[in-house]
Amino acid sequence: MPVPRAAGDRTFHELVQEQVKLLSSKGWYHSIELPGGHVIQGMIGIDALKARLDAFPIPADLTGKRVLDVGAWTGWCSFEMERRGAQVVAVDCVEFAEFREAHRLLGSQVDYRILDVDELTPEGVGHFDYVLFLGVLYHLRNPLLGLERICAITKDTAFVESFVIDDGSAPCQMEFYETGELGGQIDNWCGPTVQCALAWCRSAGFARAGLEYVAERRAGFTCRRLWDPPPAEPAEPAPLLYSAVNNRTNDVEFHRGKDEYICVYFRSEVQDLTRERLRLEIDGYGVPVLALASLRPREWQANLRVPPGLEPRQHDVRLRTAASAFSNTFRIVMRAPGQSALPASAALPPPTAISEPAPVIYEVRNGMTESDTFAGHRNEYVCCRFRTPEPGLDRDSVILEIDDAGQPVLFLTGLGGGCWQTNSRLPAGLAPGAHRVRVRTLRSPFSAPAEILFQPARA
Amino acid sequence: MPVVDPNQQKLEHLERLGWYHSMELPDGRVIPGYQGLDVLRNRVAQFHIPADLRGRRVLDIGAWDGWFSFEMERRGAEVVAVDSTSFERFRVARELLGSKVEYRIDDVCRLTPAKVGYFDIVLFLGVLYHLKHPMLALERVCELSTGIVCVESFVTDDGSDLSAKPAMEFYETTELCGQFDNWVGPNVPCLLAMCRSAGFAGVHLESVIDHRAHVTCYRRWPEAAEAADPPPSITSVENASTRDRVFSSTNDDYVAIWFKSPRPDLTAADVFPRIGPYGSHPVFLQSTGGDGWHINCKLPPGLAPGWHEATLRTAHSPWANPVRIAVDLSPDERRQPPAAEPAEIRIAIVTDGKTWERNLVHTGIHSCISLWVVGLPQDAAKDSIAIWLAGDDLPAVFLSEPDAQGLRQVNAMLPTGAQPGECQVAVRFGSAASAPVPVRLV
Repeated sequence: MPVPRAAGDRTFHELVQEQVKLLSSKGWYHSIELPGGHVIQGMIGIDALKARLDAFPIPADLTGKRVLDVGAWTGWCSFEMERRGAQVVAVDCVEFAEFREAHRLLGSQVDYRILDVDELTPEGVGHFDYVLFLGVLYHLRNPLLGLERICAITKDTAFVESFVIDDGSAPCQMEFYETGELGGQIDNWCGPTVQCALAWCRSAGFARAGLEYVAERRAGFTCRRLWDPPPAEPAEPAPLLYSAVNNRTNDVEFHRGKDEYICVYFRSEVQDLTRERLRLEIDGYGVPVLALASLRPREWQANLRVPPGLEPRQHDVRLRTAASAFSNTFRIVMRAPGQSALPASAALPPPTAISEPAPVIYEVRNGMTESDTFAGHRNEYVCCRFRTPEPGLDRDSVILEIDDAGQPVLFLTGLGGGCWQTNSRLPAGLAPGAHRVRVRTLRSPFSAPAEILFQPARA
Repeated sequence: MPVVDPNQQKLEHLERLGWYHSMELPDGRVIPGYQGLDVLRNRVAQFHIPADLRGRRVLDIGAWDGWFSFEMERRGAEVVAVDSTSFERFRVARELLGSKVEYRIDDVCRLTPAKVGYFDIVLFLGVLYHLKHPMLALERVCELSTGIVCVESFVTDDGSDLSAKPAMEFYETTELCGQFDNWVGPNVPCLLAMCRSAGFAGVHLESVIDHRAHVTCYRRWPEAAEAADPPPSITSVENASTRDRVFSSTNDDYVAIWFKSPRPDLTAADVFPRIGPYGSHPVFLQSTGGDGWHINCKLPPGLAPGWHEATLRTAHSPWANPVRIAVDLSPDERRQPPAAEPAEIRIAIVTDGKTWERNLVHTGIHSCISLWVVGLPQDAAKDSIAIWLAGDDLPAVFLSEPDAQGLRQVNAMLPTGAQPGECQVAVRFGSAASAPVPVRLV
């Protein structure tokens, strides 16, 4: 009878050789120092591992802090963070037996989880004071998406280390590795310049990104979610924040998972303002400004990304300059997918108890032209400015009517000194001619009406 | 009395809105836009889109005013148009044209087959460089397409040096044209590499005009022009990282295929792997000695859960013996024995090459399973025979001539990760299969 040909099949032989090679090379990647002083020698020595961490400003005492180690490998960094007092979660995309073994030998409490970077969410792993993201970035096909996931779960600082293709002098770009171009490995996808990695960190939602070192094609970056503290004695006046709106819809509603930008309108007396000198915050997290435009003298518009990880609820926006105190806050709303947006027309609740005087409208303007005439363009908003002594107004406590029909107040802006502005859209099907606008609060009667003119433009 | 055109007032309103695409109305009037009709026609003419699209589904991503959507509909296609914000101009043009194009507001990275279905042709024009995650978007688009995707993007070069290093500029703020919604600028080699990496089989550069590259991405390989060579013979198919035959559409899995080909000088450009209907190009190729070869390719996106045939051909050969792999199936689903057509095939003996004990197979390095089978046709070739073992389809690597009793020996390699235990084994020949019999792996 013929002998099965497996043993002589060279294709099969090669396959097996590959497996054997893999097994025999299965040593320890990180060295690990055991409690008795014994050291398991790995590919990277204890000194090199210490030097790698010492390159970053990581506090020596991490008592009470939560730390995430992404791409933990054998786990030296995780166990070092635990030694410093932190509660540690270690994450890797494949399970390493060496990590489990070291975990057992050290009697460690580190929480070890097998997850991809894409699977790291606040719902799944919670938030962390510090995140180690060492040697992972260049393995990602969507590196900026990976940094966004990291930013969304970082409360304070992420420490990022990556392969880079230059010493910091080259312009902002990346190389793309389709196959085994980098080290013959097919899981290396991108090689950024130092400038590109820094730009990614800022674009991912971190307020600040700093370069710690670059040497031998590796660079370390410290990415902070918070601005430096405001000056004790402001040298510049604080800005006045008018509004922060969705640049697609011009209202205060934002939607999780959509690629939306925030458009911030504010007044600042500072003449030579630049985007780099602005410090904008959402719920205390710093957000870098992408573009700054001067609209009129002292009137400014800034555009920025919605930072990742904002929960579906209200959030407070405020800003300052590098040398000023913070402005007033303005409230935006994050909606969960499928959550209903603004109502099409505002219901008119009866005044619960009239305890405040009627507001006084001092002007109603077309937001585009600053005149009282409207042509029916998409971006025209009815800006109603009024005075009231009533304190603590918010959007839900102001009711605006055009010709006795309630119109949703898209947002309310405090202009200071008891002055306020509401923005609403023109109702559909308005006839050409004059129309009445009036406003009240939940606790006041209606104001006297003001007049606007609707003149549909001719072609 | 002059006849009042009921649409005239609406048209005047529309023109005031400021059009990007020009729009030709049924009565021949043209709403002039920033891009003239000749420019728009030239953009679409960069791609090989059939003039007759009856019965085809077309997706237009980033439809803007909708000229491309309405042009595809005019050619007979069922069209879905997607944009990130709603444009009044699109809606009114749709009404004036009496169009049935479905208009959806969504971000490209959130489109799924469950939401919008699959498309024969996807237009992805002028969108890529506005995205922060261009690879992710290309992967999503690949998943939605069953035929071709037409990609038009800003590029940083003129495409004259395709051997340049694939590189992509990143625009943190307003570096590109003062717009803060421009995020990336790939060079042409990078754009082509990203399209290939997204899971397309073939990627072809059509033209580069004024820093706009036009790339056609194909999900399927053509048949070989002339099949002068014999078909390659596949000996094993595995998941390249887990080394089993279990594949997941969400895990970024790669398919490792071992095969034999008499061609001595194969390169990755000469090998055309196919999983289900979709082509996938090799990201890795090496000779394993003699006529043996090993390639890795990405599991193509968009495969439905179930069994799919993995095969390949070379530039001048027909397709190799297909090997079935399981995508997104649970262990229980995988262990369902193959549905057998009535056939006379029967397994007489199960053993291995080490102990020759009946119904017992030793696992480990160099292990194989050996069946003696009755009822295979005289002209059966080993390439049409597979051994089904506990949910794995193992291609036959050896088939003997019939002995005096009409028994034929069929051998297959055990999977690298085969685990000891009781399981079932059957033999498959084309669409026929034997009844499963028990075997013990030790």
